[in-house]
Amino acid sequence: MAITSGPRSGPTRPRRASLLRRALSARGRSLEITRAGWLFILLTLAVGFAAINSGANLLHAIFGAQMALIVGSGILSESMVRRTVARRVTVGEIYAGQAGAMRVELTNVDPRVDVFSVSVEDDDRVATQDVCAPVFAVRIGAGRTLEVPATVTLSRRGRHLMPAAVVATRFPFGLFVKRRELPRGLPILVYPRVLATAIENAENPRADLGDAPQRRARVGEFFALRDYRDGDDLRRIHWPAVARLGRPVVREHEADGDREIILELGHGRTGDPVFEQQVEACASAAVASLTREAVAVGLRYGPDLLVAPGSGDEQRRRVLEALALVGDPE
Amino acid sequence: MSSVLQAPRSDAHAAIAAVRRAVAEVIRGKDDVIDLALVAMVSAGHLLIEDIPGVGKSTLARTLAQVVGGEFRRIQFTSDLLPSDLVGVSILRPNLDRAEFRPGPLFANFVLADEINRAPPRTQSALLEAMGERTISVDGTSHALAVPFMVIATQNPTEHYGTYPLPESQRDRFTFRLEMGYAAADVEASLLGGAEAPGAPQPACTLDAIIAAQHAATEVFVHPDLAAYAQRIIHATRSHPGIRLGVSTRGGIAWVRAARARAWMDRRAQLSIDDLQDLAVPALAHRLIASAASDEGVALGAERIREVIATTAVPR
Amino acid sequence: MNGVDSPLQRLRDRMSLAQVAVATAMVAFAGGIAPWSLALATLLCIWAFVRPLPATTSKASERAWTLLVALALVGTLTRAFLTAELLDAGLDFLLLLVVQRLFNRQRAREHMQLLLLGSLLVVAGAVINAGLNYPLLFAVYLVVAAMTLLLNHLVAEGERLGARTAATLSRESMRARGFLWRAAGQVAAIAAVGAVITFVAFPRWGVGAFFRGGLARDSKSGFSSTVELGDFGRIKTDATVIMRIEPDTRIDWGERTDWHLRGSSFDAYSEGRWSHDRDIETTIAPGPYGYRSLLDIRGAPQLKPGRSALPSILPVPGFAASSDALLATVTLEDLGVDVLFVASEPLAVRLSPRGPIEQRAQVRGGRSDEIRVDKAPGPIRYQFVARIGSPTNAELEAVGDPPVPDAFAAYALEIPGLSAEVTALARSLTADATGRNAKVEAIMGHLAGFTYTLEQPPSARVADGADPLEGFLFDTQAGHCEYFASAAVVLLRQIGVPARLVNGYYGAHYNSVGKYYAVRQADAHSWIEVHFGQLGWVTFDPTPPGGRTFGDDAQWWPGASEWIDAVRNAYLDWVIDYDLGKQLALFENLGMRDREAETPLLRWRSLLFALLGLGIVGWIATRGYRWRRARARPDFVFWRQVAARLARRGFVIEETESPRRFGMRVAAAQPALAEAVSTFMRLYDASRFAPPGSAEDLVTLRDAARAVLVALATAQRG
Repeated sequence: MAITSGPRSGPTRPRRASLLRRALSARGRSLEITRAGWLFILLTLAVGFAAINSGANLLHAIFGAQMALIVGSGILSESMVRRTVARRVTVGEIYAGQAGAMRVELTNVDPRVDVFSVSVEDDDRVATQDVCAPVFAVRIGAGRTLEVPATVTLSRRGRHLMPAAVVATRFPFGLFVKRRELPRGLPILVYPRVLATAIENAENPRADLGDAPQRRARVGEFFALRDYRDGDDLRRIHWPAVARLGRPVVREHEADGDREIILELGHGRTGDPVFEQQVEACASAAVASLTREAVAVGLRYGPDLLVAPGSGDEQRRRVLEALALVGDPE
Repeated sequence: MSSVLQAPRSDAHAAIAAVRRAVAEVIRGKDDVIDLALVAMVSAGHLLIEDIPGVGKSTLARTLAQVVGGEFRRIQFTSDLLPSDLVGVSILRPNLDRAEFRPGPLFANFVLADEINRAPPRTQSALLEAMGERTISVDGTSHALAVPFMVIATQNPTEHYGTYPLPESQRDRFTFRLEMGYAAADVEASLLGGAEAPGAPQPACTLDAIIAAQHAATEVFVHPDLAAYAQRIIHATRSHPGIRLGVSTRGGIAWVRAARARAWMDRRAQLSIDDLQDLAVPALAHRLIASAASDEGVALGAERIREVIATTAVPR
Repeated sequence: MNGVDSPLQRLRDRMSLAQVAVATAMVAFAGGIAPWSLALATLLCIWAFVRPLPATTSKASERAWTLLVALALVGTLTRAFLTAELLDAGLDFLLLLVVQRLFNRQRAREHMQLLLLGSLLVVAGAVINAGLNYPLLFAVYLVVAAMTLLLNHLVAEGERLGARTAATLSRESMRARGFLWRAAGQVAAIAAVGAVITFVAFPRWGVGAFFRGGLARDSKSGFSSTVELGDFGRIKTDATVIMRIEPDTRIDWGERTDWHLRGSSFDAYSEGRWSHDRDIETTIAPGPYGYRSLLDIRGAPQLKPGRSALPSILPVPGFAASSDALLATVTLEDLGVDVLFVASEPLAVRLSPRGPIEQRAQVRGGRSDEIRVDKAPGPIRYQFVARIGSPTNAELEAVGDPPVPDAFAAYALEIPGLSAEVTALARSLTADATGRNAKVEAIMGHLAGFTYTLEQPPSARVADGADPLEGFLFDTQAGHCEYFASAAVVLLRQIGVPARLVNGYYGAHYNSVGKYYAVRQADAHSWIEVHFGQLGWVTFDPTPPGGRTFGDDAQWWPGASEWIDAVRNAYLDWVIDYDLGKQLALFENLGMRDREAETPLLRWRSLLFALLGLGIVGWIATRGYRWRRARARPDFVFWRQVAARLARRGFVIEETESPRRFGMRVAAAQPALAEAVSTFMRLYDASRFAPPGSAEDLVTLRDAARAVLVALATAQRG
């Protein structure tokens, strides 16, 4: 199931909506009247007309109650939006085009009054492929902070801002939608898309035919002999050489005995589909290789060695960061 | 000009201004660093200056001490420095019937701990303990350190050979961590051109003035909303995904205390948002552990702090 | 999405039903819905709730519902057209729509429609329900509807944001239920305050297109415009107040009065039933002060303009007390009959029109001195003038046995269809009597020996098909007031004395809370009137005194019922009949006008109220001040102004930006503003985070704010 925000209810006629929105928007705030809101306003007007026409006292009272609800709705929704400060924080790595973990911190800055029914959702006035899953808080206690897990999907790799989002509320009755734009914060680094199939293939021994001898070789190519140092593993002492030289020496192996892969990426322009595909392939390969312990991975972009070979989680991060930003500017 | 903006005019202000002038004559083109050093002094804190050798770390520390007119000791940290070399030793005198304590170089107002990362951790921790407690216990007797007491430690970047880098938790004892940076081009040119180094500066104020300043700085009012704001920022460092270990409460206290000192030096009787925001990086960046490779730790820490500042709403 | 199983939705569904139920009650209590349609709707609603709700409504059932609603619409229109019961038909249609929505209530939209239907019912209730139950139900409705709206809004958010959010949302909402109730209560309170303010202050210049009041059909009143012996009694204990009388004169009428409040009158009797057989219409002529006056025997109005503002009664020769007048204002609940009740002997009536609707009401004469009114349903208020005095025995004796005028010949006719025994009894009773008064006294004396009872004992004669009156006279000799009165009239008529039966209320009980006389259902009574020549019709009450009234107090909580009735009266007076005049009077009173007739107690009490009010206002003010202090401090107001102006020029402050930094940003972009903006920002920062209680230099800050605005304006021009 897609965890994207569904179609927004509200006025269906876009022209009216946009005109009204423009009229009701200011300083990052906007007010929108939902279909139910229109109906309610209509009913209020009808009751008001009936009250004035007939002079019936109870109709006046009902009219007053409805007017108070409309005004109260506006004030309440405004105060909900005003009192809510939202912060979106990514958790862990974000890969292009894939849902990454995010945490939305909703803080009620008012130390006395609760906040009800606020959501943080993407600003539908901004056309983008970047999507944050909407989050919703039923109640935020006075002065409290609520942390809600969510996901974010950014379509392109590189440094990007979070998608434009709003703190929205329809409190109390869903008659009006009040929105306030969120600050977009600092850009976050989006790693290129990593294709899961490549990783699966790599983890499947049969898919990698030349694998078996390498995996068994726990040590790499012979590099040199050096003097024995206190603490060296006794098993690494090269006894023939000891006999020959008369002092203890040990074997040294290249890259601590790991196989080394240098991924090569040709020059390309960021945004070029072919190049992007290559970057994705590189990233997938790097992740696939680095999930196996015994391989050191490096990255070369054109003639430059971007990342020296290495292994482990830090190396994975280095390679992915390099791949996230690689490419000539558009 | 509103009267509430100003703290009562005092000699302490004049004294600090004089100190700033005197130091700036010696260390040229580094006004920001000097200001931060003075803030650290007024907030009764300690200073960690971290940079490559030869940019004037020791000069800054020495000048500051000389200008203030307190007792000054310089300790060159080496790999064979022992804790007793710092705190002093008890000597049994045959003619007296008891041990006599001979105080070490820490019993001074200003202690320059040069290249602190060259000493082994045991010695480092003796120094850091003295910084925190402001007393020294030797053989079950505790000896109070001088007032004011300020440690200015310098440290070479960690990749230099043969060092024991301070762990993050120990860095927490320093109010600020500063970088000197190279001198500005024109200043450097004039230095190279043989501009004569000024002689040892004359004391510009008394220790009492410094004590008064330290006392006055604690009187600066912190609005509850600002305290809450500071708390939000500290809390945010603890939940930031790019930070493995956030700022401790002690770190937060030191930060706000420094901000108070800065407000006082700005002749204000109350804290403002800017005091907190401007001091956040020097006061907090060295107190957290960013979740990345350690070689870029502190730079990354500063980056993370800026991020947090840039995403935390200020009180309105 | 089928979320019927989510607890939030279940709660929402229940609340939806509850709000419709309350709304329906508001209409039903005014008698706006026929019992059968109410019962049917209730059953269907229960069914809709008991049956498992399908995930979606199938196409077939959707079509069936559409067809049904369309048919019902046609039926409703036809019914409205044919029977002119527009409101009834409309309400039944609304109920059908409610049922239809309850059967298909899967989505939030449908519940929104249910809420809309509920509010339409409430509006309909406002038009027809003048009862005290309405404001109470309205208060309940506000809370229930607010909660329903809140819950439905949450469910709608869940539907909008997707299933994953909906699940957590439901859980969180159920956890925060208590807080939601509180919020709903607060919102309802806001609405109620709005309602009261609008109600009190909104100017009334209505032109009148709707009618208000109950659509009372079959009234359960103890009074009825027809009399049928043998079908009466259970009403006698009903303590419901149907009339409130405020006498205008300064006479102390005591705890209980002995007014015979005349309603309808009957002249023909047949087989236990009284009816109007003869066309004896009473003419009513315009009198002084807007009164409509009955005519006396000579055909002249009996009222003339008096010395004071009160009309005076023309005296009747030979009737000393004939000028004793009772002038009273009556608020009469809607009993479903068009009779006005006036103390005997009625002389004149004047409606007190309150607003455009009542102005259309018309008083007309009924038969046998009845006063009838053509009016819209609902309570009505009127004034009457009655001759309250009665002739003395001597004065009655002096009349002798006058000839029956032609106009009243019908009242003297012998009742047909009764056995000769009755006539024989009448003759034997009056054998010695010479004058009319003596005859009446003889018959009254005979009946005085009978027993008053509400439980009619069985009579063998009546069981054999005889007239109930014969059973009463010869068999049981026991019955209630209608038997006594009927028997008296019949016996008098058999010997040629013009007499008629009168139905109405006897006496009234003083309500010390509301300072008026209350007449209850239980006070319904029957008596007779006998014509005495030039003295006119004279009232006699054949019922033994113990049977004339059931008692003054309600059976349970008499004090409380007195209070409730006084509140009901005040509600009618100040809510239902609140008009421009009262509005003006209210605001005049608020203006502390000096009243001369103020007692010290009243002054003391008003002082107390004033102090209490001041205290409450002060409490709210300090509380509000403390609450708002952080936000609405004057320095913040300046800040808001400046920020708004700068925002209009494209400088929007970030949430994370300090004032000084913001000022620097503005200054960098617009050097012309640099000085003014940075000064203001510095001053604002200083004022905002100053220690509490410090003397803020607001003047300087204000000047700095002005400087910014001026600089902005200058920059704009330049």
